[in-house]
Amino acid sequence: MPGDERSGPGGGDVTDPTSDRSRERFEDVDWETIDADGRRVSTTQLLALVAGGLYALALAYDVLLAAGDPTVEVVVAESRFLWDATGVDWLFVATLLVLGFAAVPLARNRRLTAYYWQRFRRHRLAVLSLVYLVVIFLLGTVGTLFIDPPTLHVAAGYQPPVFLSVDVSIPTQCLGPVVDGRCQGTWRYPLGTTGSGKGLLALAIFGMRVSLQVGLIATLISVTVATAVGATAAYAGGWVDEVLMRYVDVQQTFPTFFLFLFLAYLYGGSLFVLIVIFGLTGWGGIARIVRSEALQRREETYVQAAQSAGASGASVVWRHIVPNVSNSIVTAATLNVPVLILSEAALSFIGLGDVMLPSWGQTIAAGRGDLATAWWISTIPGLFLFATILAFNFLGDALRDALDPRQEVGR
Amino acid sequence: MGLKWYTARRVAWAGVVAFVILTVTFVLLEHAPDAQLARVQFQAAASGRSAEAAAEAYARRRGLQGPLWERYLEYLGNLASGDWGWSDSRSQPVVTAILTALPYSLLYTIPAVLLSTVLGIGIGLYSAFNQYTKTDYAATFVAFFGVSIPNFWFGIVLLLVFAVRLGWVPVLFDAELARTRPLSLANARQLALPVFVLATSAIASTMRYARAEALEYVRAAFVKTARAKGASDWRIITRHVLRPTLVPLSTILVGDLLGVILSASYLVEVVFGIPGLGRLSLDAIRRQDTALVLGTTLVPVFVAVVGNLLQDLAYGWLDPRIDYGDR
Amino acid sequence: MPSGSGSDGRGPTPIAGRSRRSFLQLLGLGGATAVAGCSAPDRNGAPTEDAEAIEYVEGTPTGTQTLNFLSVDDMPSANRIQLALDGAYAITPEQETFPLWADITSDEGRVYTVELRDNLRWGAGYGQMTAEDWVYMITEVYQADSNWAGYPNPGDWRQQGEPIPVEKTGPRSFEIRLQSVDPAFPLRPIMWGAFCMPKEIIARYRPDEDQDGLAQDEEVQTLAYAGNLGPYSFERWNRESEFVATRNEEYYLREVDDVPDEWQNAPYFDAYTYEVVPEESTRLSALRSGELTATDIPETRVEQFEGRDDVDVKVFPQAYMTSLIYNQRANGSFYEALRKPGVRRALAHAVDKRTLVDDVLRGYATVAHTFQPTFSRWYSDEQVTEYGVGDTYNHDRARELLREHFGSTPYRYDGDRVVDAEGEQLTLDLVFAQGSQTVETTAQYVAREYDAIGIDVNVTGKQYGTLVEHHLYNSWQGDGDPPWDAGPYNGGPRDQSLSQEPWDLILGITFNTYPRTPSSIQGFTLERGGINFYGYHPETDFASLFETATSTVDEAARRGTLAEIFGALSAEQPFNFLNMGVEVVGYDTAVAGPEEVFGYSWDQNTWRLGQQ
Repeated sequence: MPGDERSGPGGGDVTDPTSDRSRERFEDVDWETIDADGRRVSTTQLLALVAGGLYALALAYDVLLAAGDPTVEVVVAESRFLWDATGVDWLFVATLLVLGFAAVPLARNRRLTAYYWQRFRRHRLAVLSLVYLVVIFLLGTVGTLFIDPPTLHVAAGYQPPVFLSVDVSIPTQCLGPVVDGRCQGTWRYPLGTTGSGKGLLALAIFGMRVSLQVGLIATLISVTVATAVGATAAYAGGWVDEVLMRYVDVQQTFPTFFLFLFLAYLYGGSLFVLIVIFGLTGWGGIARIVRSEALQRREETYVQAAQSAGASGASVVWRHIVPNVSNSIVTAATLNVPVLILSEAALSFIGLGDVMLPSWGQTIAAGRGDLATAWWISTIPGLFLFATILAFNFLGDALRDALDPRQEVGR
Repeated sequence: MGLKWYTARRVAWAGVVAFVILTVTFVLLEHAPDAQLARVQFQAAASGRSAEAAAEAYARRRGLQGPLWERYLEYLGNLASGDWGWSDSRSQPVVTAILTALPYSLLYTIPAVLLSTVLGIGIGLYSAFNQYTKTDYAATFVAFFGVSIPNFWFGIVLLLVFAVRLGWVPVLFDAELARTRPLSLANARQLALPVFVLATSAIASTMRYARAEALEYVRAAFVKTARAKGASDWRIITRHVLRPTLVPLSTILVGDLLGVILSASYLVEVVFGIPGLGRLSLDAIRRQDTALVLGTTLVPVFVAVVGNLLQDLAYGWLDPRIDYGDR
Repeated sequence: MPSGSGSDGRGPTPIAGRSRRSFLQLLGLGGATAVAGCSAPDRNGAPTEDAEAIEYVEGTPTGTQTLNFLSVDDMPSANRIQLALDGAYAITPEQETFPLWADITSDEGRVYTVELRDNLRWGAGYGQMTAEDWVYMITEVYQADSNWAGYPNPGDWRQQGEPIPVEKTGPRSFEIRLQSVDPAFPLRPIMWGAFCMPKEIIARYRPDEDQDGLAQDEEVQTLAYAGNLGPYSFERWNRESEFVATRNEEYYLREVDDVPDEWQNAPYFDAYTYEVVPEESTRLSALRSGELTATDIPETRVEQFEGRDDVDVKVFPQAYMTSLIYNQRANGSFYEALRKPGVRRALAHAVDKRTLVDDVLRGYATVAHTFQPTFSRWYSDEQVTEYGVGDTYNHDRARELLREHFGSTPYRYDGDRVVDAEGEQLTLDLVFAQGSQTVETTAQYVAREYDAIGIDVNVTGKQYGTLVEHHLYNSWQGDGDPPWDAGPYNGGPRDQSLSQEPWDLILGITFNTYPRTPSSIQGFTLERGGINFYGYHPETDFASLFETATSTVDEAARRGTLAEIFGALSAEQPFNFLNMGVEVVGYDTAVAGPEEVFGYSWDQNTWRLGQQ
């Protein structure tokens, strides 16, 4: 659902929430730690530095030394473990690192975390969503390392899921028992197979990884660019603001999906290209939200205090403005993820994606012609996709409710 | 005075945006691989003819001769005089192509927008008043259902069930029927599924916004006062919550909804075979019909710019506190 | 109104009811609305007895781009024009000419005489179709020096760069004088199926070379000049939605007596509609619901229609071949080996053609062994060597042969894997054209088969246009000018003319095998052939064999030469011939007429519905 970005808290430039600032809020989380960090290097920062360094070293190794060879090659007993990290893999690892460290300050402030958890917990569907997403996340990241990627088995096409059956003329060859002219599903392929005999269970699990890669990496790119642009525009004002926001205007004039479609047509639809396209063109809405929030923060006393204390522009933006609009960013980012996952599916349908990619979108698109006879091919990944989008939407809404300062009034 | 100046500036800015977008699109298209050209050349070479001559003939047919800037200037010149060019892939003027496709798009988008707005506001308000109850969850689920389900999958399944299995609606969209008798029952029937798919996918954004706004007003002092005065819930909703909510809601009708509809329309039109703007734009890109791609690109630009302008003006009219002088 | 789907056939009634609902529709009602079934209300005051009108609705994925046949380069457009313009003559499945507008004859195969019928009348007041119209169009459009009209095949009417002399010999006859003997000329798509336009229309734009003017001409756009020249008349064209043509009551064949009876009363549909339905699953749904009379069915979906009594699935042989193409140009990572026929033969042992046909294409294809379908009269079993079937599909044998033929190349077996000079595992890049699921599955299947003989394959899908641009186009990378240049697909000798991006194997570029005019495949098989993007150097002297075949009038002798060519090709394996595709069409059961032969659509005008 591209174009949903603007429905973040604060809405347009016009709303002016008069919030009660007597309480500690989400935006204040980083506040003390960052101030403290100014004096000495914290453990977190040290860890972040080490992780960043290791990441850079590994990347350099892959690019310069390993070049065409697999990045990781471990031989355990009989089986050879090979992992030739692609550009997307590297981006994904980086994304996970950033997300991990972004969560650290929140985890350290237990009292506040508990407070927000309290608020978040009220939305029971969102809690359920969170659990579901954590499972998907673990299966998609860790799980995919331990299961075999879906492989071709042309003789095993169109096997129904286990416990279900289908007319025996549909499967290429029925692998399970045939009862009354109907082919029963087998445990070899618990969720059935596609027309080319790929197991849908494996496809669904690998699809989790692809969807997470698309959603998380591209959103992180978007959020980074949007925050930089929005905060800079708000803080600097004047012609900088004018130039940046006018650029956003131009970019936003294209409907987001049209832009995705056009660029995917021009540059091909490999996963890496899609992520870059999503990341670099889908940030306009978030930038506007950040800017309008930041405009309000700019006038706050702490920003003015920092300025008068001689802090540089960049440091004011980074230390004071960005942390203080983080609630809007988190919400907008959460709601951006499902939009991207759906966009990938839509591009697959139009035929602009990479058909070799084991994404949910590709599997749904490839199986859509079989819906009349082999409904499970398209429907099973469709259910996963549906549940994931739904979960992100619930999560986003619950986060907004929990983090939105306006809701504190009267509660 | 301020208003006029403001409007003039916005319109001038719209011109600049359109120019930038046209230029970028023109240059990008020029460098895209052309499948049709490749096919034509392959055919020529396969049957022992000159692929170069075939390419030259292709360029002549498509008006692709001469340097890029020359063609671009010619295009801009024509555009300035109101000529949007000739669509080679449809053998008709670009303006005609757009004006032909537009009504088909409106036929299903207008009902879908109305439906989704009404349902979205309804569910949003309900959800705001009954936060975290079971019925709230159910209502939210309904609202999020359409946006979470892949449109194209949903459309295909609905066709299989309602058109093939039950025979309640036709599978194919009859453009001639839609053109000649747009208000007939037959037309309503063939539009039912596209409207439903599009409406369900658009409910969520309206609902989300309506709920956020309503939540704010629910706790606002004047609503409490009204309640204290003994006003009924219905009266509170319609008088005190709905009305102020409608103001910012108009924003997303133009902005977000437009985005949802434009993107969903590509999928809906392909699945249901409706020859509307989405397919016009998609086919233009696929066939690299430059004039038509540029034309279809101008449509959303125009809608976005005019929409934003109207929206700003509407704000000024609805909320007198807003002053255009400082913008 | 019952939906008609899954109707348990009780005698003729359901079919009749279904026919009436699905295509015995009010003409003016257009398309297959099927909304109100038989009782559909009339529109625009159309008389109600039209409810019995017989409409043939064909579903297609893409629409037409233009009705100006002078610039048509795609099949969908040509098909639609053909409803209103018959063309010069048709070719029967027996490869004989069937005169429509004209008859073509020749004594010794060099000078051809075209004789027009005397009752061909243009519409829009352009009078009778004469030889003058034809000669003017050929000389002033097809052979015009600047190709002002953008005619897609200007080379058709030239030989060695010179225009083929075309001369009017009477009011209704003209001569085509070829430079050399070519007995297959009538079978080439040059005069076969050629359309014509009144001289006056072309003459309006010829002086200014106004291509735009011609393309935008109202009469050209609506085929107003078609007169009595085709079975149908143009009715309406809703862009990217429907093209409707209605029965032409003036059809010229009605007045002639040298055609079979069924042609004289043709056509048998009151309207012929092309309905554009971009989404395949929707198209198939519409076939199920009876809203379409006919549409193509992809191989992998045919099962869905088997056993349905309201849809007839017909399988037509085709001449398009799917092959696994080897890169023998110097930018492949295995080219030194792929240049050796022994290695190519070894690789052909590794891929199971039978499984591909049976399991991937679901039996809707035939195994191919050379550059010609088995139904072709030029195909000879004795000469063709078969690989990849029966005993010649054998991974151990493939390894053995590879070992034997690697010889001086940098590749060898290390254990059971193939390694390069540095001892690294050999990995080939297989690129395929996206868009067809069977091609995608074939690509992955080939990768598995190669893995079994110790070669890793990296499979990538690309859009057709991108694939062509990145991998097929190649150009001279050496110093100075190339010694020769055969166009964008073959920019010069294989060591220096390279594609933009490296590749080793390509799938999804189908080759036409030209069973009617087999010498047309020269472009694929000669070193300097216009299609030879894969850098193949034949060991057999195909050029002179083709020369002999083309100019031999005696058919038995021609057959001998061509059989030798196809035999040599199967032995040399320029690429791995995998399979010959078929066209699968689902028809409403009531349709009578289509025969499952190559070139089946030539007598489309005589097809009918039900027992009329």
